[in-house]
Amino acid sequence: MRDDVAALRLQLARQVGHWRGAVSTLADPENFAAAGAWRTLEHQLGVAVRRHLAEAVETLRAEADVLAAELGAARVGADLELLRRRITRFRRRYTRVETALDFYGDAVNSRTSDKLAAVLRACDLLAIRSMQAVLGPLGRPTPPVLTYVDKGMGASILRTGLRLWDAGGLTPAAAIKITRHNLHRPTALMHEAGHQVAHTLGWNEELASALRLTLADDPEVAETWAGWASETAADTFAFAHAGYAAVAALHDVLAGEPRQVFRIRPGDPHPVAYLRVLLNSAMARRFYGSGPWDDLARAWTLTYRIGSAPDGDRELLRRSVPWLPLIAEVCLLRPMRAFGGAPLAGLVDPVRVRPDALRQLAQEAGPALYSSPYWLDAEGLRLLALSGWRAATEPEAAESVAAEFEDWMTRLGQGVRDVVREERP
Amino acid sequence: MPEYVDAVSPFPSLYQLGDEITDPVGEEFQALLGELYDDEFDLALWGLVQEGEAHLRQIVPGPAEEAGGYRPDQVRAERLLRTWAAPLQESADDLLGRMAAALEAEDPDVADEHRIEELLESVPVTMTDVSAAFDEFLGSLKKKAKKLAKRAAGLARKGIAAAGRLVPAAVLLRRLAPLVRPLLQRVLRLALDRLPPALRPYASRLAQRYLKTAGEAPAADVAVPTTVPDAAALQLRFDASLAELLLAADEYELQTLVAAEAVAADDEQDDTLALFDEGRERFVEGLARLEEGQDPTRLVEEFLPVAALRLGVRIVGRERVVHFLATYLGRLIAPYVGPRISPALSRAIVDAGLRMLTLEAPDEESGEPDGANGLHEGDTRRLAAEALAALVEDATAHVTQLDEETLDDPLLLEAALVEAGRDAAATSFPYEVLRPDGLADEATRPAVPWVAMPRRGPRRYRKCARIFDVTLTPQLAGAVRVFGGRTLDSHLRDRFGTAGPVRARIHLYQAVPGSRLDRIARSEAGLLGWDSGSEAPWELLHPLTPIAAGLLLGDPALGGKEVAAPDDLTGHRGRFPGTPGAPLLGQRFYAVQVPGVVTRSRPGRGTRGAARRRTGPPVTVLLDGRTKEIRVALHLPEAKAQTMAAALRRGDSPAVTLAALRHTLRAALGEALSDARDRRVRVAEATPEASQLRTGPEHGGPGQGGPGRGGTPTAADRLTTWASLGLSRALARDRRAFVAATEDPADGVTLLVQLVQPPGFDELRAHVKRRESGTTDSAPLHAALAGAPHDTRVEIVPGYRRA
Repeated sequence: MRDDVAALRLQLARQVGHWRGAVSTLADPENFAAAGAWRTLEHQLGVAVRRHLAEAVETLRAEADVLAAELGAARVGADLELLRRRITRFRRRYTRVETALDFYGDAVNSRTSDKLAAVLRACDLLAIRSMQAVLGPLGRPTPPVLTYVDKGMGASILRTGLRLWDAGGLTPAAAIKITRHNLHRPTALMHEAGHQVAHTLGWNEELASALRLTLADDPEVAETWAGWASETAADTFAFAHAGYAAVAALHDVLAGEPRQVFRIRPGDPHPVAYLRVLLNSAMARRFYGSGPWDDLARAWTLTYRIGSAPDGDRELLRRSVPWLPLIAEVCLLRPMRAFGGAPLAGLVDPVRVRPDALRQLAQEAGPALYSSPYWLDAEGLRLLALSGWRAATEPEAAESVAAEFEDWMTRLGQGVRDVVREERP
Repeated sequence: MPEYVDAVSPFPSLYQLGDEITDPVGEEFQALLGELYDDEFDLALWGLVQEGEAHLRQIVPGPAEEAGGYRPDQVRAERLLRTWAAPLQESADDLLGRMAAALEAEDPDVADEHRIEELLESVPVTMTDVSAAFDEFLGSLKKKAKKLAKRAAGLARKGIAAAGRLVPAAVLLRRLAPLVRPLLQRVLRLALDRLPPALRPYASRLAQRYLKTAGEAPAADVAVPTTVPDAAALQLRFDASLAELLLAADEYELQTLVAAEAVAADDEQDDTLALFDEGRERFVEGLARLEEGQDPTRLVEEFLPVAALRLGVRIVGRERVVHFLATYLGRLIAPYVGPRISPALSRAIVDAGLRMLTLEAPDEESGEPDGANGLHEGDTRRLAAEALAALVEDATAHVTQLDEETLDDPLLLEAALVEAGRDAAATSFPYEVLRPDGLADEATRPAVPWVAMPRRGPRRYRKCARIFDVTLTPQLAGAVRVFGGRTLDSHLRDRFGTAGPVRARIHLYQAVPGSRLDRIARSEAGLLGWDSGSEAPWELLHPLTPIAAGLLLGDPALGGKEVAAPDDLTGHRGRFPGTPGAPLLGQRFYAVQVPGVVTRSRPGRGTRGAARRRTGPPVTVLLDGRTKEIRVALHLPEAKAQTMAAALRRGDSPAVTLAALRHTLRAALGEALSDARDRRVRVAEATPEASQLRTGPEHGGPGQGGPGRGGTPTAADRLTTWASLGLSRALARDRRAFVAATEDPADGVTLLVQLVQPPGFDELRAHVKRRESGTTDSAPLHAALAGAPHDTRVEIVPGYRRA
């Protein structure tokens, strides 16, 4: 029988060997997403993501090498105990890196067909363009975006520049999740891109204090809305870019059971659904006058009668409603330091996506609007607003609108990177 | 009397006219060559070369793993490529067979050119489904075969039986198939870098007699060789065979011709590039082994002939020159040799900017050998030796271009060598290294080294270690010409979607033996953020002329020396702009990188099989002597066409559109008419059958002329006025025609203006021809151009068209 130290050392040596081997399985990006899927990414995005992951794995590999060196140097029981603790810590780090790889791998893998890959590349591009409209004039760089499809009701974003699981560095690209049901009217892209912009520019905090100040007459309402500032900012950004399309799409996502619509959860950054839809309608009314958003708001209040709201929250909801036009005003028209002293509408004018402006665009560009690389490139964002507007106001033509949308998004995405040529025999 | 008249002539109709020998068959031959030549065929050949190369890279990955002298198993590689191309050969045979059958089914006496066109057009090209390049080649081949068949019918009708008989069109097409094989073989060799740098353009003595040349392309000689053989030379050779096929005297000659081509193609193996790679590798390794104070002359002496051979020059017979050169260069580089100095020199090169150059390169493209530009440890040590190799190469290139007198005069030769050595050193070494050793001229600006790239695999181009940060304003970019008669401004709008002042980084490249624009583009794609899988990435490379270098970088000297045709891709025959092909040795290029901006796709690209963009100069003019017509074609790129269509739909006055069109026309015509070599203006001869197009090289650079030169501004003004009048009436009459053309998915629209029998047609034609012949033109044209054309017709078509 070996002595204690030798026995301990043997167990640790095996573990060190195991983990060093495990790291090498992380090194190949194709262990997480198929080579074909990686190739569907726009070139620079692919480079950024893979470089980031490779760096994380490299850091991990270096740590594993340190473990091996320490094993070699360990002489007494205390050394081995120290090593054991380090191995445990290493396991945690390994899991974090693996989680990151899994996340990006899944995101990339969601590009299952050439067509879907093209549509998602178009989504990447539109999200980037929407951010560029604000960040560009302010001299701020626009991060790459990786859009992926997943199940569920709502979209989400993993912002760039976050220090996440892998600890290897900051996230290299904003990863935006688009839900499958909204793939044909992804105005949620703008909402998520809005989060990135608001975070980058410090808009959330500024909007929160502006709301707090403006609604000061009703401290409870003011405080509540200040808490909802980040999501309100993202909604505002989406509205400025997509107009009524964003309002209608948001409505459809939120139109669930009444108890969900009225539920106020403490600490939740999302405005209560009931007020959120009404605020978005108020934005449309503020910029476009009367229109289908009025009907949408009326139908909303008829469907979800405020009287059926839970007792504790009903009063707050009631008191908030009259403030909504003013809140819309603050969001879109209040000059902000975040925007270099301009209001958001000064950088992204919602009037450009007013229904008549969209109709004029369609008329001026003619059928080429959906096929000419020039229009797709120059007016992609307004085209998204136009498709969304038609989807919202022509439910009877839903199928053809969706087909048309998919067609031009595919073209746009193919333009970003032509379908990988079939060079392999 | 010229020699060929003394020879026993098979041509009964050879006759003498004054002091000018006229030979109808010879004329026919030349006219045929002019007619058969097709820009797109060149592109199709380049497409095959690239796909073949890509195919090979996938099966035999290699260059990435080995530094320097990698040499794949050539025999195996060629076999693999032949297997790859076999379906194409079969499809070509099949296509030509079906075309012949279509003709055979028709009564040969009835079929005129029109009917033949109809019949052959109806024969579909069966797509191979293997590669887009195959399909493109077959399409181009069909076009060429059609021209040949129509020509045969035309000759028969006209009664020109070359030598008493004529091959029927159908037989001709069947004979054509065996000639495709040698063509494809040459294409494969081009992909393998095994085609001789100077391919003889004509196979047989027959052609030489027709053309009264000694097997050289007419006016094809340029002082500076291209870095790789040019696809245009392959096409020319193929065309010459076709012309001979048509004019062959008898069955025996036909068979001889086909057999001779097959044998010739087999014989054309040339491994000088591989030898060059190996020679350089030996030189670099040899230098690394030398101790301080050891004489590198022997190494130089070994390397010199190899370096010269690739330039197409044999200096083997000139032992004296080789020895002299070797001794001189040996002395020159001796102070930089040795284990103590060499690493320091390498370090200096790295510090001069190479680190920046390579550390930014993504190394993720592991499957792409040329994408591997990362600098690794062992690599750094080679830098000094490589810089010395570059010095020897450049000095050799310089010497091979010296004239006899200089080579024969020792003092003159040494003086030339001093200059060559100094120039070469300035492009290989950092300034700090040069100064104490006397290599640096007092006046030399701080030298930035050019480094051989890619860092893994055979070196195929050089890159300037310094990347220039510049601000491009629309005004500046508008003044810089890129390939195809376009401006950098329109390039930035097209590809980067930016018009305003933009912060950009400029990367510089230089062509060395083996350089191809597509190779540079593919290798640099990762670093520049281009899509390496995209089509035509070479379109992102622009000619770095002294003017461009002066405007963009503030230093005209960076534009390199003036070569024979500084603005052209090649110095000879008319070329399609922006082909991936053969640059001139030493020619420099630049690429623009706009950090943080998503590069836009090339307009007009769609899914596979969709029409690829085919564009040339925005304005082309054809002076057609046969019909006394001037045809002007003005292409509007997609963005411009769409914004104009939008304005018309909006109900804006067409005057705005017209003003913009007029402006574009005026500028382009003024430039085109003032430069005789400009291919934008072509003349079709009056003889109906001999419709030889007089073409000069593609003009891609800044206009040498412009308003104020000779009578041309007036001519351009008149043409602009006539064309604008036609456009004005057309737009007033029916603006929907313009709008409708923009709804087609093709890239942009072309306005075709036909000026029927304009006044002064003959004078204008004579003017253009005088320009071609280099005669200065003083006779003012404006008097002759007074009045209006008999008729003006305007057609608006989607996509790009030439006049």
